[in-house]
Amino acid sequence: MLRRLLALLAMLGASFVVVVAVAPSAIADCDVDEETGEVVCEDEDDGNDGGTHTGGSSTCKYDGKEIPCTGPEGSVWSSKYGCWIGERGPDDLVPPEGQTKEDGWWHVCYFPPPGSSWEYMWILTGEVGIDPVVLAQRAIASMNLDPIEIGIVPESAANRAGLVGLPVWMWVDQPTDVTFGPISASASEGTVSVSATANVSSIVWDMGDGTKVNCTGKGTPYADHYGKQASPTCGHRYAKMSDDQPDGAYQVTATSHWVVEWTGGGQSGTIEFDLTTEPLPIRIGEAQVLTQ
Amino acid sequence: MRKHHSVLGGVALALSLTLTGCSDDGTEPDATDTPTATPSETPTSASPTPKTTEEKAAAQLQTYLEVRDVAYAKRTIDFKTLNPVATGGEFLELQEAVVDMTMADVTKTGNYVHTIGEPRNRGNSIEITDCEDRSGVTVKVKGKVRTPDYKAPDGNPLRNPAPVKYTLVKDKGTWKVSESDLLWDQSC
Repeated sequence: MLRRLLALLAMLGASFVVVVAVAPSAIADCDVDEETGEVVCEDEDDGNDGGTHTGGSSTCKYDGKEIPCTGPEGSVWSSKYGCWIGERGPDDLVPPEGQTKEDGWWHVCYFPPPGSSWEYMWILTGEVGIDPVVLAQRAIASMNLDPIEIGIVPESAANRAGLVGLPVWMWVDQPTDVTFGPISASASEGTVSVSATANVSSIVWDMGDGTKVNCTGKGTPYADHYGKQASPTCGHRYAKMSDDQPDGAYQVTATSHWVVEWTGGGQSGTIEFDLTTEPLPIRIGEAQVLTQ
Repeated sequence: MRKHHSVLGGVALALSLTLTGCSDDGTEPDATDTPTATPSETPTSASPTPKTTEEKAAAQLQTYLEVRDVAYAKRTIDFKTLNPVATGGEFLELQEAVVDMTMADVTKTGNYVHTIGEPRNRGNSIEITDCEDRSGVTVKVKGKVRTPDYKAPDGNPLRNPAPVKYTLVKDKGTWKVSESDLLWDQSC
């Protein structure tokens, strides 16, 4: 809950931006969920989200400042009411005079500081549009994006091993639009429609020996004629054998960083997230050991 | 309990409060009604006017906690009292908490006891840890007491008292509470 609010906080005024920048960052912020009674902690670093598409932003205007269009609990900013319009109020609330429950409903309003009055707002049906960010996330979900297929030499197999000091080549094996992009999709609800285009901007290779290699492209697939050359685009050299690693192998993963540009509903924005492969064991030995 | 240090000077005693924003008559407040009962407050020792930056921030936090506890008790928010003492994420979070309580029919009765610790001036912000004792507070869900009232991430009941770190920032010349962090795995 706090982490979501931090995004809001950063937008609510210049002073907050400074605070966020200079405040010592905790590992997690915790707060009670009054509804469930559970203490909920949210990490500072969203990092790899394991494939769920979180984040993203769109901005609305309030009092001359930019604020997020999405407020607490997924509420949606309304310039008309000057608040984020959230959940419906209880069913037993009586509509205002001259209105029926066909015309609208009482909704919670979350106010940016300073607030004016804490009361349910009568919102006419159709006045609250869906947040374009939500539609963008739906569009992304419909893309069914996947982590890349790892291409690597030395290969990952029980009877294969690389050598300390020799080049390791990494690349995106058989890249497709769902593993590397570009890929586009749309989502709409009511009168709001959003188009999104996703691309992998970089891939971070965790080589399992403490090294992370950041490659901006797909890498170059290895072929025999390259011999002992180093990869011209994405490579590594192990300095130690892997025999002291679990299962005697370095566990290599590739994390693709997706950047999605979206536009629609009179707004535009960017959503970024990571997708990580399953670990791939790579064995590394030394020539003298391997020949014994 | 947190030991007060000299930086708060004469304010220290006044900061150990019993805030009685929650009604203790067992009735459940209704957020849709306009509350008429005025929460009582245990008289505190006369506190001198805060002078230093830290004292001013601590006084603001003290007021915020009073406002927050009343909001919990009444399940509504008086922006006239909240605006001067809260901003940013905390401002929204209190609203969210009140909405959650209303929607899930959660009530709190009784009194929190707040013991405010030594302010730490970070330049652009001031951090203050409050040792929050809720042994006098009863949490009910749909009229039934929730036991334990809160559960820590490790599955155990949330300790009591529990420290809560507050961050205050300057907003138009006034220190306001902008963030809170429940330090559930630490003791007061």
